Amino acid sequence: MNVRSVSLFFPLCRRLALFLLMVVILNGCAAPRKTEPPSSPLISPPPLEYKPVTGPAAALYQDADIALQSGRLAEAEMLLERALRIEPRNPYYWHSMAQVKYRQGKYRDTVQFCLKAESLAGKQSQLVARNKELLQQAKKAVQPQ
Amino acid sequence: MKRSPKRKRTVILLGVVCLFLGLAAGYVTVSRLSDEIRQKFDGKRWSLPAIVYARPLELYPGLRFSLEMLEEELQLSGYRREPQEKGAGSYTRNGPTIRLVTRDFHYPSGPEPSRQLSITFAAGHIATLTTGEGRKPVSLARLDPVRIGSFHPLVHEDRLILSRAEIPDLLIDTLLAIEDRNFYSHHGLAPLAIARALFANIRAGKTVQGGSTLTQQLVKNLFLNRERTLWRKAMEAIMAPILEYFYSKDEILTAYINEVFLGQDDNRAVHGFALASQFYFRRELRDLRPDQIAVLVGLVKGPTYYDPRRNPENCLERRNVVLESMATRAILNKAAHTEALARPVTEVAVQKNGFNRFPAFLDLIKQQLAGEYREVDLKTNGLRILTTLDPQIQHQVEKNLKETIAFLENKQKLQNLEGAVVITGRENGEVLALAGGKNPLSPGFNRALQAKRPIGSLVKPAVYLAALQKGYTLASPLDDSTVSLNIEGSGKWRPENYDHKEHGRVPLFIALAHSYNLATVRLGMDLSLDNVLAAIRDLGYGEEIQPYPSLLLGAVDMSPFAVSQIYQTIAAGGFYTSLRAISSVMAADHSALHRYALAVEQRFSPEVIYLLTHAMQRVVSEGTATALLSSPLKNHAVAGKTGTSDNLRDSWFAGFTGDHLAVVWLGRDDNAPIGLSGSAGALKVWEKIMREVVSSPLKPVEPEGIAWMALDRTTFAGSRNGNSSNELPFIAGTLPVAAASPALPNTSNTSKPKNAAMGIFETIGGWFK
Repeated sequence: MNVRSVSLFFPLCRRLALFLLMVVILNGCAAPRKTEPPSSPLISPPPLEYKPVTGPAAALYQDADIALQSGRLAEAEMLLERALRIEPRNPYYWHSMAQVKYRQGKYRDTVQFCLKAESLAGKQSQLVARNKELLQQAKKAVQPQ
Repeated sequence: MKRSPKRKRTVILLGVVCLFLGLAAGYVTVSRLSDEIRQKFDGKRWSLPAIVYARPLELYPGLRFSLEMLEEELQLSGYRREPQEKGAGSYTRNGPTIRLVTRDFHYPSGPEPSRQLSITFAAGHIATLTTGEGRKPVSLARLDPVRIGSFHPLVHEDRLILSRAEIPDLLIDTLLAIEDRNFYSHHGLAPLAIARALFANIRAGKTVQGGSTLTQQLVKNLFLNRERTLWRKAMEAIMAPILEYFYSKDEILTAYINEVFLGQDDNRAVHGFALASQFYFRRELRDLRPDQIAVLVGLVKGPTYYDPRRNPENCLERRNVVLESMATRAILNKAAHTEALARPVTEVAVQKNGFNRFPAFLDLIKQQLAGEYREVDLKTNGLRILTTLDPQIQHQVEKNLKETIAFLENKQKLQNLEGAVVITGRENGEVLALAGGKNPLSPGFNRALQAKRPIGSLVKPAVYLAALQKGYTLASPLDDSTVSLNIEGSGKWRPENYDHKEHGRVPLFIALAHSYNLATVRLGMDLSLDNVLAAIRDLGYGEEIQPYPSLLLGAVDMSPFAVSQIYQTIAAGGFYTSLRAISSVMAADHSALHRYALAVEQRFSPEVIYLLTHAMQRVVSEGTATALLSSPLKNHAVAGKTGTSDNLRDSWFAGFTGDHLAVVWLGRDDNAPIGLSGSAGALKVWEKIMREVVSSPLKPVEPEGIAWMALDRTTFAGSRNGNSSNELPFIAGTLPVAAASPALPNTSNTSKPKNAAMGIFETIGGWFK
């Protein structure tokens, strides 16, 4: 008589064991949760003075800005990605992504998002200047790494 | 006859042995069966397939979107049209206005509750967007996304799994009243019911009545086939009590309600009451009226015979029997019973839905998930996968690929022409639509991902990009004359132009626009193959390419998806971004597991990409893709490139507008010639698709330090007298020598080019053999 047949007479134990087993398996299957890296230890870059309110995604941009200032970085990032789907060539949104990345401590990404913002900013001098400032700061932060 | 005591003992002994053996065999069988049952039942109970969603539709005033498009999106998403929008997932259409109530949806950023929206259209735009009874204007709102598929172990089955708490009491009471009145008191079998059924069947001479309990029906559905044999009945009778022994009544009932087969929707079997409720009534199970519950419970007896759409009379009769029973057993009061009887069987016609309608796109999802999740996670953990699919664009891709292929087959007297299309967002690299063949519903060979074919002249932008990086300008003269190269091991290679002519000394942008092979081969060899290969790699191609000169004319095999990745980098201004079809993966409890965040990486300077893009716009304005000039897309300033492989086996076009990049391939699976060049084939499909997609014209942002000048195409001298349409962009400091102006700023941040016009003729002689 095998062990499994014996356990036929202990349905309760089996059920409990089965349940516990399932709990363990299910937990094991779930992909690990990603945690946000700690915020940058460096001084935060200056906020943007411009607050464009005309585009269809302006409301998202403003929400993202609030989230960014309150340190809810993952939320800000998702809002900006959504804004960029609607207005993919708005350099302010790309610049704000760079701001998010900077605060996440992802300086290489900051550099890239700054370059992207720069490539779309054209002659919007104030944005260009802010962007350049952040770019320099991020480049400096990348150096010692 | 008197038996001897010895013989008697032997008989008894034999009897005991037989009995023991019988018991042992029975025990082993039952043990084995119970193991099998538990294994399968537990698997079923815990399996929650991953659900895949399209992108949520963002609505805002000014959006170019028609009322018909919105209605199509709503239908695909399972919204129901009603005289009055009431309850989540309903909408009304009144003149130019659609009023709707969205359904709750959990996004990775948090839950978004149901809201009432009113959308008014004017001239192909959303004119106003308001919410609530007070018609408060809103600047932006999104619809809960269309559910486009699931990863269930059986691909042609679908179900929405409910927990016991989610099942309405009315359904349970009705189901038990009709199918199994003694469910809570029997142990899996109801002998009296079996005897009654047996008697009725013998009297009728055929099977007219079943005596199966719900447990037996579940056993039949889960473990046995549908044949009505005595053996199956016997197995049912053994297995049902085993199931009852191991599981509670509620577990069995819940499994039954999730499992029972209730209809067929084209190629998917509809299992469970929750999905059946969506399929027949477009409502959540909890929102069903008593008459609708009665229809569903009636369907258990025969989903085809009592189908409310195909056999409405049978269905009505059956439903009324169920309603009668509900009234008799006080599940319904008299008034409710009368009201229910007055209702038609179903008010909802069969409508298309988004479920598994996009198998090619799901292939891509599976491919992109494969690195992160195991197959078992996708089939059992109830993951929710939010993707980037745009059903509107996907619809245009499928429709126009199919129609244009049929047209071309007819025109060319061709058979078995196939094709593939990939459309991505120009800046963010999100895959919006994908077709792996002309028949979107047939799964299998996905040409967009799996067909690796010679890309022909689609490779040329990489060659010219490498040249621009090395200091060539759009005006650099190239030599389009016969060239012959010694290839190690395979003798001489003598490429030819498509028109078998030589074009002499031509400006670089003309050589690209007209796709001159000889000029390109000479240019590529002058640059060195390594530089060209580096450009292809930097554009985003990760696989190995053999450094043969023939690669300069596209003798390199790539899938349409790989081509999209390369062109994406050009379209996005020199920024590489990995093409993404998934935006995030969430656990069954709505927590975010994995986000596929937007990331970009600058691979080329904005200046060289700006020049290349201009040259690719010349492909359309005066080169091989001028067919677009007679299309409504002529004002979209499309940048693109045609591609054709040897003997017209492959026809390609890759091009981008302000918002979208689209790559189209046409060819045959057996690699036979199709007689179509890139412009005669793929470009036609591209045009048909893109004229239907809402997309803005391409207006690349001009980088600092770009100067414009017209060019005399014979003398190659610069001229200030040209009109804007024949002016070419130059990186400051590289204007054609003859007309270089001393006043022009020579910015220090652009690379100092060598004198390309001289360099090419100095070195090109070396390649002549």
